[in-house]
Amino acid sequence: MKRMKIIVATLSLVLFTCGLVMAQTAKIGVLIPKSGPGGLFGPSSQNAATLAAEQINARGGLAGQKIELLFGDVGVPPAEAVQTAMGLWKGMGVKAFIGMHDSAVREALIGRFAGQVPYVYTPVYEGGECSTSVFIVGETPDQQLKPVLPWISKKEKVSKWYLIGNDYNWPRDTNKAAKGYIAAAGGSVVGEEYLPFTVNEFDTSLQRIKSSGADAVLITLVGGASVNFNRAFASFGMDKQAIRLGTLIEENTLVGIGKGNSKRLYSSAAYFASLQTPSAKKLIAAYTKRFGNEAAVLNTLGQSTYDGLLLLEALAKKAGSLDAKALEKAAEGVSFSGPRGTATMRGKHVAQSIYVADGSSGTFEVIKSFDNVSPGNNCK
Amino acid sequence: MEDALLLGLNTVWQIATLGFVALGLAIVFGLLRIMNMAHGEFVMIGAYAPVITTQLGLSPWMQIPVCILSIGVIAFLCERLLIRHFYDRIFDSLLATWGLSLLLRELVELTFGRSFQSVISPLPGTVLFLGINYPLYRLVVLAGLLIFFTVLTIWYRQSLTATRIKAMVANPVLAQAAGIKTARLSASVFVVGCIVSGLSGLMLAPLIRVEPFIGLDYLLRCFFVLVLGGLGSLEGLGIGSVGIGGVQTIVGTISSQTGGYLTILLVSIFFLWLRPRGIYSKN
Amino acid sequence: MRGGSSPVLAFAGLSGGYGETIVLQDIEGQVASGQILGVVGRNGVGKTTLARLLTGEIPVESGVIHLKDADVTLEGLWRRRERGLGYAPQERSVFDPLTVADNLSLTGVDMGRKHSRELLDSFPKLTERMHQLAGTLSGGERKILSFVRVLLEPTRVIVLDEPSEGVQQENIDLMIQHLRQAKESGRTIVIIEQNISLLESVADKIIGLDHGQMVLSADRSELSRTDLLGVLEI
Repeated sequence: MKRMKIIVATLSLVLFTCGLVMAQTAKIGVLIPKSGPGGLFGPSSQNAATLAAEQINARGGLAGQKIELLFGDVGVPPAEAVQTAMGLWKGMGVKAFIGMHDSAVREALIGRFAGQVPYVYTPVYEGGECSTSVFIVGETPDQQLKPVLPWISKKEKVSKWYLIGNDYNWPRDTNKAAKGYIAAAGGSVVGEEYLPFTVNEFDTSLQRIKSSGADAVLITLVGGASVNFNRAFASFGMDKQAIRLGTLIEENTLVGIGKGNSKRLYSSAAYFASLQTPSAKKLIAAYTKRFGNEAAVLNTLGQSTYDGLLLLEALAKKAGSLDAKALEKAAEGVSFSGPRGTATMRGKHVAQSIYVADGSSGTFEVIKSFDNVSPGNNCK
Repeated sequence: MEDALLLGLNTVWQIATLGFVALGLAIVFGLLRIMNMAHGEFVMIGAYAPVITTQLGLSPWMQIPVCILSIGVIAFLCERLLIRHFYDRIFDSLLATWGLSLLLRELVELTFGRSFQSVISPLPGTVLFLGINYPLYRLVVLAGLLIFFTVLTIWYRQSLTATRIKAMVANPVLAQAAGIKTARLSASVFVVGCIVSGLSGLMLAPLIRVEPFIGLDYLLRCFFVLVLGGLGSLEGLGIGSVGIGGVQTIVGTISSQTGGYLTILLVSIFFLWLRPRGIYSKN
Repeated sequence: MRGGSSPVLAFAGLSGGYGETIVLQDIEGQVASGQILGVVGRNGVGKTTLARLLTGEIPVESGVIHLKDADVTLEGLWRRRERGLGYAPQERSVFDPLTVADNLSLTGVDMGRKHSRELLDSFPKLTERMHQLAGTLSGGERKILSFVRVLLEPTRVIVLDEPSEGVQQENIDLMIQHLRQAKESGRTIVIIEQNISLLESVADKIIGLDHGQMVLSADRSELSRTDLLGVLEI
C-alpha cells in the first residue's frame, strides 16, 4: 500500500512537470517540400529551421515559450498541402506557421488560414502578397532587380537583354518588373521567352538568343531547367556573347551547371552560403557544427526558414504573444538582424540586403551588396 | 544562311541523340515486348557513371567500362528476378517495370542524394565547322553515332546472332525447336538493351542536369519515337527519331518550344489513334 | 522392339492438352533408330497435340517420354532439341520475317557440305527464292522450307507435323526419297500425316488416333490400306 502511494506520487510529479513543460512550448509548423520537384530543398530548409529554433530556445524562446517544431511535407498538390497544414493547426495545436514552398500552395493555405494563424512565407517569390497575418521574408523581383540591373549593366557594359523563364507567374512577374528597370538603365529587351516545365532541350532558345544579338540574359528558369539551359548555353560558347543573371540560381543549381559552364554567370539573392559577413560566417559555423560537413548545403531557399523564425521571434517579442491579430498590429517596422544582415518589416515584407554573386569559378563569390533594399509596394 | 545551318546541325543532333536514347527501349520493348517504364532510369543511371567513376578515383577513360559494368549487373539482376516472368505479358510488364523504375530512382537517391551532380564535359569549347561555331563534344558524339549506327545496321542485317534474335522475336516456339536457347537470348537482349540505354545517358551526362529524376524526361519521348516509327526494326527507329526529333526542333525554332512539344504530342496521339503500328511495320 | 534394337523414342500413358482441357489420353508408342512412326487420324483428333507433347512444346499431364534412355517428360522444347530432337510444326513452321537463306542458316549448318547442298538443290523452288522473305512463300513452299530445315539440323530424332500439307505431288515424292535416306542414315522419325500414300511408302509403324484415344497401333506390314483409310473415316 505504501509502495502504491509512492508510485502515485511519482506519477503525479512526472505528469505535473510534463504539464509545465507543455504549457511553456509553442508548437510551430514548418511547411517544406520533402517530396516532389522542390524536395531538393527539404533537407536544408529543415536543418535551418531546426538550428534557428534551438538558438531561439537557448535565448528564451518565443514570447517566453520554447519552440517545438512540427514539420509538414508540402511538396504535394495544394489541396493535399492544405490538409497537412490543417492537421498541424487544428489537430496538433500549432500556433504559427513557417512556409517554404511554391505560390500555389501559399494561396491555398491563406484561403484556409483566413488570418487566424500567423504565417511567415520565406522563399523568393513574385511579390504582391498582402493578406492579414501573413509575413514575408523572401526576396521580391523589385529587390532582386532594382539596384542590380543598373549596376550590372554598367559593370559589364551590357544593354540588350533576353528574358527567358519557365512558364508560370514568378518568371512573368519578375520580367514585368525587369523591363522597367532595364529601360530605366537605358537598355532594351531583345527577346522574351517562356518555356513549359517539360522542356529540357534548349537548342532552339539558344539559337534565338544568338540571333537576337543579346549581350545579357535574365534567367528565371528554375531548378533542372536552369541547369540544362546553362550547360547548353556554355557548350555553344554563348558565355562569350552574353552575361547571365539569374534570380533563382542558388548553390545546388550552380553545382549542377558545373565548373566551366558558369563563366560570367551572376546571381542576385538575399543570401549566399559563401557570404563573408560575420553573422553569415557564424551561421555556417553553427550549421556545420550541428549537422556535420556532409549536411545539405545552405542556399537562399533553404536558409530562408532560419530568417522566417527570426522574424517570428522579433514579431512575438514586440507583440508579447503569438496571437495572429497582435502580430499583424505589431508588424510594421519590426526589425531583426541575422545572417542576411538587418531586415525591417515594410508593408508585410522586409527591406533587406541584396547580394550579387559571381559564379564563374564554379562557386559563388559575393561581389556586391546593396543594403536596406525596399521590397516595393506589394499592397496594391 | 548561318541560321539555317545551325538549325540543320541542331536538328541532326536531336535526331541522332534521340535515336540512340530510344534504341535501348526499341530493343527491350520492340523486340522483347517488355513495356519498359524503367527505360529512363537506365538512362539516368548511365548518366551517373561519371559520378561513380570519380568517386572510385578512376580515370575518366573508365567511364564507359564503369557504365557498362554497373548497368550490366543491375539489368542482369532485374532480368533474373523480375523481367523473365513477364515475357508475353505486355500489360503486366508495364506495371512491373513501373515499380522497378520507382525502386531504381529511390536507390540512386539513397546512394547519391537528390542534389544535382556536376559532370564535367570531356571536350569543352566550340570549333569552327562548316563556317559556324559548334560544340566540339557534339561533333565528336555525332561522328561516333554515325559510325555506331552504320556498324549496327550492317550487323543487324548480316550477323547470325541478329538472325537468331529476329527468329526468336518472330516465332519463339519455332526458335526453340530450331535450337535457339530463347531464355538466355532474351536475357542477353534485355541486358544489352539496358546497357545501350545507360550508354546514351553517359553520352548526354556532360550536357544535361544529372539527378535521380531525369529518366522521366526521356521515357515519354522514346515511346513517341516507337509509336511513330513502329516496333521491331531499325528502320522504324530511324523514322520515329527523324519524325519526333525533327518536328520538335523545327517547329520549336519556327514557332515556340511549347508549339514544338504540343506538335509531337498531337502527332503521337494521332498515330496511336489511327495507326497504332507506326509508319514502318512489317506486319 | 523390332530387330532387337532398343527404342530411341518411347512414350507411354501419355495424356495432355491445353489448360484444363485434356485432348489426348493414354497414348503409347516407340520407335527405334532407322524407323519411322506414322500417326494418322482425322482433323481435330489430337495429332498435333501429340507432336507438341513429344517435342515439349506443351507440358505433359501424365505419362512418360524417353529419348535415348533419358526421361525427358518434364523437359521443355529447347532442352529436348539439345538432346537431338528436331521438330517441324504444322503451323507457323517458318520464320516469316527472315529470308529463306536465313531460315536455314539459323541451324548453323555448313551449307557447303555435299549432303546439305544436295538436299537443298533437290527443291529448285527453294533455291530460286533463297533471298525472298519466308513470309512471302506459298503454303506448300513453307512446308518444304520447314522440311529442309529440320532435315539439315544435326538431330537424330525428328517430329514432322503434316509435312506434305499443300505440297505438290512431285515434291511429296522428293520428300519420300529424303525420308528414306534419313532412315538409312539411322535417324528416327515421327510423321503426323493424313496423306496415306506417303505413310505407306515410308512408315514402319502406324498409330491411329480418334477422339483423343489410340485406336490403332501396328507394324506397317500388318496393315492394309483399308485399315488406314478406316481410321480416317471413323
